[in-house]
Amino acid sequence: MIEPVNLEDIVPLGAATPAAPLESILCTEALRDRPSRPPDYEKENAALKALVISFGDSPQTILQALADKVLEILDAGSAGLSLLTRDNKRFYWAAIAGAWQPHRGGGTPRDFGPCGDVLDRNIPMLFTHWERRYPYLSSAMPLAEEGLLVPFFVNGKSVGTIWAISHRDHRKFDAEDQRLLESMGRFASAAYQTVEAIDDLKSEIATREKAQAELRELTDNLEAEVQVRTRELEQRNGQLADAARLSSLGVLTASIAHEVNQPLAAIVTNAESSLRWLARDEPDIGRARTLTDRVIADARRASEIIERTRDMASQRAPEQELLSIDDVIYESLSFLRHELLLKEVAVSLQLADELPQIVGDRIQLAQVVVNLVLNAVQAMAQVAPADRCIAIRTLLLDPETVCCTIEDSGPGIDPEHLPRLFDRFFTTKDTGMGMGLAICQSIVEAHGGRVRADNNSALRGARFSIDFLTRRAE
Amino acid sequence: MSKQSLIAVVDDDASFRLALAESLRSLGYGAREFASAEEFIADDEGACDCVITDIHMPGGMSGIELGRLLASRSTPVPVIMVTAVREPGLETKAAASGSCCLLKKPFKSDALIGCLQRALGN
Repeated sequence: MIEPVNLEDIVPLGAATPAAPLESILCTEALRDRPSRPPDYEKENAALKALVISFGDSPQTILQALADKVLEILDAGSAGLSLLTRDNKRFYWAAIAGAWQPHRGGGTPRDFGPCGDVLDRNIPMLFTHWERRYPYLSSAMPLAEEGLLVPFFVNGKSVGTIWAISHRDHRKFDAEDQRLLESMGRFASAAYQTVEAIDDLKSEIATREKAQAELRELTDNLEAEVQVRTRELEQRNGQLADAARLSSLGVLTASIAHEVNQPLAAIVTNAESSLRWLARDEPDIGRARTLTDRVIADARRASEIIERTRDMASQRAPEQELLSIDDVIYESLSFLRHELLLKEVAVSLQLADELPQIVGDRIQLAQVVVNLVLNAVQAMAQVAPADRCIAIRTLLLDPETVCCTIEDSGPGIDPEHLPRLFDRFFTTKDTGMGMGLAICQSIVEAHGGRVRADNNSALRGARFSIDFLTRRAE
Repeated sequence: MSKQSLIAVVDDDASFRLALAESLRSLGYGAREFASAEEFIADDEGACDCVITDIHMPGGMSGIELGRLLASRSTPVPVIMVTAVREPGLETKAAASGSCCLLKKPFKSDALIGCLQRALGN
């Protein structure tokens, strides 16, 4: 196979032999002058029909089918198609039939070769022994006696040639050969455009599919990432809630210990007394029995304290029951008894009479009150002990709404923080205890209620108001 | 001892207050019960030989304050402090108020007896 030739690669033979002029290798007018066979339309139509069918079967191999057909109907020694490369620098032999078939893939320079000559003029040309002008063609064996080249056009632009070569000096091309070749040329033109269009389409489809695949992958990655982030956020949410719960419990561990120590102390004291009565010369069984009863009662008391503490830490699903808001407040304050004592906070209760009951989860609502009171206690850390006050009020806002307010005598809430106070992840330097206002809000809202904060406290600190829905008439 | 010592028990926790009083009685002491420091002050004027008082009592005078009060009397009464709370520095506060002992709930009667002997000088 001849490698595609660059003009720079052509070394003039001996450097002293100039290339023969073009005219010397041309004999196009011979086509006119030679006796011509009559036009064989039947042959032409049959060839075209066969080519059309062949194209329908396999567009990709049409160029070769064309070369084969040209070889056949022109009775040539070789036939083929030359196509201009995209950079317009050379022709490559896209399809070859006949003796020159091994040279397929080779080519000629655009500016120095028979194809180039034809495309310069856009007319059919007949060459003879072209190697006299184009020495590189002498390595294309067998040598060409005559070469008939016809340009073919795409959209008015010539993009290549279709050619037939005779290797025998007694086979010379005539006008009929030219006619047939031109007919093939027109077909080649159509075929070429179609193949190009198909190739372009395929290329575009491939590009589209690749882009789609990339997009799909990106989307999948994005979805996966979103899932991961969502899980992380949920986890973090859970962790925050846990941390808040734990921190309030951690802080209140002392209060639990304190509370439980009371019944424990009574149990130890009573049990020892009982043993003393039983150790006497005349054991006092009656007294021992009484003391034992008290031991049992105190053990139950200890157990209830633990239960209440477990309730405060609970994460169970909410249970709905009819509640008195007062009971919820008392339970919360009972839980906080030691903390309030330790921090020397005075609590005043102003509970309205005969409030309607509310519907809700006793433990969750108590958790809300506990945490709001704890926040208040913390807010007053810098206040002198004698001035630490919390006021808890209940009132009926309207027939359907019970309101509970918790006020403190702390510094109040920074007005800048007020709008975002209940936002998740919102913290100020002062918070750190309690389960977070966001969680308080979500519990209250899950009960159909509302929680608000402002600084309208008679104690000149902050005021938190919780509105609860009363039991609605069915 | 010829005369039975009278111990005042001051504690807001009813169950423990009763248990301690009865324990003292079973040990041969006399005991009187008070639910708050205020109740003790209002009712008793030096008629007891020793006061056992809880430190943290809600809504009123603490045991520490009561101890200081009793220590400042012309005839001081020995005071034993009792607490359910484990707070650092409490022992120091108790001692500073003039009490001779701090018992931590729950405590056994051996510890109680030891404190009583110190308080009553036996």
